[in-house]
Amino acid sequence: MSKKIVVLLLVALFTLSGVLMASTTLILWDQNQSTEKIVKMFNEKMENEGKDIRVKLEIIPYDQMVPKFMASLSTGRAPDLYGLDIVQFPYFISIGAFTDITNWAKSQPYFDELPQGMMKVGMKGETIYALPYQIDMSTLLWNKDMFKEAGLDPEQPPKTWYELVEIGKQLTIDNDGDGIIDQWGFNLAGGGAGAYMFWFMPFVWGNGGSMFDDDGNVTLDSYETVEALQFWSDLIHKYKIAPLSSVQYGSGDRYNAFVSGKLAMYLGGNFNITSLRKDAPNMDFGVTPIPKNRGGFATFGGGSLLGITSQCKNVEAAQEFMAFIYSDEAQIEAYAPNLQLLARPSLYDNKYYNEIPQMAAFADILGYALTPYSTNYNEIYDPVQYYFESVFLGKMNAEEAVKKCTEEIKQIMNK
Amino acid sequence: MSKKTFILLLILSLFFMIAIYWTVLTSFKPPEEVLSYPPGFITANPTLEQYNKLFTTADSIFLRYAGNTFILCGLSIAIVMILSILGGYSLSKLPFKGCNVIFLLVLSIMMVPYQSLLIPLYDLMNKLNLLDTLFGLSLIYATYFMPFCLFMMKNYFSSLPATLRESALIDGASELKILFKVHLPLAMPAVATIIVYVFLATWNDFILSLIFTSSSEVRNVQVGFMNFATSRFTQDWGLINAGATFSIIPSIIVFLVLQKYYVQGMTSGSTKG
Amino acid sequence: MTLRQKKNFSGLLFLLPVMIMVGIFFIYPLIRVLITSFQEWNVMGGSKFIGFENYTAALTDDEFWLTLGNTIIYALIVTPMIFVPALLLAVVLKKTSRSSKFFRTIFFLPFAISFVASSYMWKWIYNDTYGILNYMLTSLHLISQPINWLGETWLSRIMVSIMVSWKTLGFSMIIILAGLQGIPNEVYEAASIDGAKKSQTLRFITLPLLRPTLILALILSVAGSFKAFDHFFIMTKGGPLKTTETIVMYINKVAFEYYNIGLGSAISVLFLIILLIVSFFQLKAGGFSNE
Repeated sequence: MSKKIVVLLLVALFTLSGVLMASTTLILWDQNQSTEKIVKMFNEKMENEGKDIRVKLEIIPYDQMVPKFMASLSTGRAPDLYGLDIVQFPYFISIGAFTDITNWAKSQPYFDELPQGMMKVGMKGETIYALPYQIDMSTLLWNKDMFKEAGLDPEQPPKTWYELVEIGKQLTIDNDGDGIIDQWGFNLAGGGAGAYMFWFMPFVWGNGGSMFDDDGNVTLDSYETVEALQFWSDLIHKYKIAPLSSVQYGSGDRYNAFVSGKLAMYLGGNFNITSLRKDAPNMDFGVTPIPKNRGGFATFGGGSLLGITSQCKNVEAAQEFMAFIYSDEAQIEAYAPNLQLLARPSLYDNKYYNEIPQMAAFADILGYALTPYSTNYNEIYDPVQYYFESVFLGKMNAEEAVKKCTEEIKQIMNK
Repeated sequence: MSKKTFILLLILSLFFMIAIYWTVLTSFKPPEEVLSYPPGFITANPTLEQYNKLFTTADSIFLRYAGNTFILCGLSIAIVMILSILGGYSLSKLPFKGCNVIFLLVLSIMMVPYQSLLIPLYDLMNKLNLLDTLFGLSLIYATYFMPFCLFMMKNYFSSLPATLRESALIDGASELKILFKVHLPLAMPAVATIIVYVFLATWNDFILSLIFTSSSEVRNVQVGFMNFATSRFTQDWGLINAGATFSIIPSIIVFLVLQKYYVQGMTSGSTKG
Repeated sequence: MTLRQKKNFSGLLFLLPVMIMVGIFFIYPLIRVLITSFQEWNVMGGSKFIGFENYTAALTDDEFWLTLGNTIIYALIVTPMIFVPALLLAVVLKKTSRSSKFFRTIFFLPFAISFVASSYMWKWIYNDTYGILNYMLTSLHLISQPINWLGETWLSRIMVSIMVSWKTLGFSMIIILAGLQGIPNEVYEAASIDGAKKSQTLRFITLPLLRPTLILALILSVAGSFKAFDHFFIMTKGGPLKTTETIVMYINKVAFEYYNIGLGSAISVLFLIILLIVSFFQLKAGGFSNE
């Protein structure tokens, strides 16, 4: 019996030791381990300035961002600040989960340099609820060594759909003549509807098409979309530069293929660069915008926004912390070393980025970023996933798919 | 066993071990070899780099996670054992009217996925101030791992003859004494099974810890290393394998230590009928 | 108190801890779920009572029936894959010999790895571009083209089942081993004296005596496969075209992607009812009763 008491005491001790003794403790939820550094810096600063504000960071993995938020909101235990996935904001703003920070945000010195497209997703009308925080963009990475081997100019990645196909054909190779392709020119991106939005929509945008117009109407039903769907399908079935299996390849699968030398051109992003340098130290690779067709270059402006929740009890303290997060010092010292894309493009010229040649491309790419706005974002995933995947698998005609998909999306929007 | 059986088992073992061998092997490969193709079945440059990363990231917090998880295992096992030994004995030897309903209710715990109960359970834990505590988490583990253990103990006690209890009663023993001094020693295979089960389920739990705890002081091993190793777009394979390999070790130790209870072969006969 | 009353009282007392735990940490949340299933539940409060609307929505949703069907098919495939080897191995390996000990450990080992880690591992192994399974098969010239193991409906169901079987049969084996301990040696001795063959002993003596244990292991296994989530979520994401989407994935989607907790609760209740019915039949088949 006494053994159990000792154990209970130990447990109590452990839990107590985790409680901070400050008068205002702000809880920040973030999916990024490197934010720990900013939190440390801020807490030290507060101590030096004799202020009684401390921040506690809780890491939330991507898949749990929504369930945990819903649970905590409904029990009144939401965090004070949340670096939530950007596409979730319209819904949570609409139910009142975030605080209006319009005036404070506009007074910040760096306000004007933040990417406007992403900012819109954190707004309702003219009211601002969240600011762009961590940026993830979809781009094309290419293996320069493979280009050289195939006799192509390693500094000339494909810029158009046509070039993608032509180059891809030369990079899809059967080395040993055994009938098995040893190296693919390209891989499609799949593994969930989110993937199609992030990786495929830029092809639609790059063709001059769109999913929604500025008033929120569905504009997917256009021949630009049909063409883009057909193009992806053709990459597998007609031009044969991507394997059929890649329709279901998630980020991890494509990454593995790229690193192991089975893939020449890879739909990846800034988040891959650090790992690539570690897992494939001998590979010379480059970053370029996703190839376009009739439109301009486009990329999905993804990542997360940072907002103060409506259950925060000390909004001023939270704003002081937010101001610190966006300060030069915090951004550069905490995020730049991991090659995280900063929300402030003016800081891209920093010593950490400058050491990595691939980072130079991102300043421009940020200019092409688009982010769709919808309070039913997750619900439209379903028809998007189903119909797009059917086309890529060769099981449905692109025109039919687009029509049906648009219908279903319209139904969802009108509920 | 016959030679033929032995060889068949050996072949099956080989198949079983390939994935595990691969996991362990990869955990000792340097990062640039982890994803190389053709895949190497041995490595020329074995390294402890992955483990080093695992154990030193964020000021070696992984050790803290491991410590937390051991405490959780201890707590869960203790609670479950009490619940299921007492309860299993009751259902088996001391049935009363309506106890079957309770048994069915307990069984239905196994029929509900955590997603369904997440929000009300989270709310409850919050109200009880048990969120983000090791003790609170172990209560959840105990509740949700207990049904199988209760069933197991009930079954096992039922296979012991009623005369055991009857003769002990005649000798004037209390019910508790009959349970712990007479029945329990004979039910060790079942007890061993439930210890292994609860240990493994607790040690390998990912999702419950993720939802009901948040601060790193209370984090467990699985969440810990998955946080290091994965993000929305990236997976650090070397680290995942290192974490998985490390994870197997305590579980295997528990299993080996308790093995003897499965195969006593001597429990039979003397106590039956 | 009479002897009978004393017995009942002790019975109740011993079961009390269980009842308390279950009451607080299961029944209470479950009742909340039941209530929520009749509501249009609002995260920020102010939920509306809407009667059976959620239930009709669920029962008329194609995806509900699709995922239910997927889950049942999966359970039907994976259960024998786990059970039959577990039973055979337990019977063969129940002795104390060194070699038995070795094999028992080998077959148990996969159970010691977490579900999440092994899902990632096997996804990697199964990949058609760089996975080792295809690598080995093509190197040995057993197949001419790499196979997309997880890309085709029935194939992916089988391959995921293989992974699950690999991972869990060791534990089912242990449950059965423990159950075998309850069968006294004399029974086998008597059988062999009577000249029974090994297979006859298995069929007519071991299996009947093992029934309660087998039912337990079966219920555990079936409940587990009905709740399948992690391995499909990681390995196939429900694809291709939702054909491997399980019902728990559907609950997860409704609750946390469509933000509809009311509907999610209704589906959960339906799921619980279905699984209870299945288990009830399993228990009946096991001739289950108290001693």
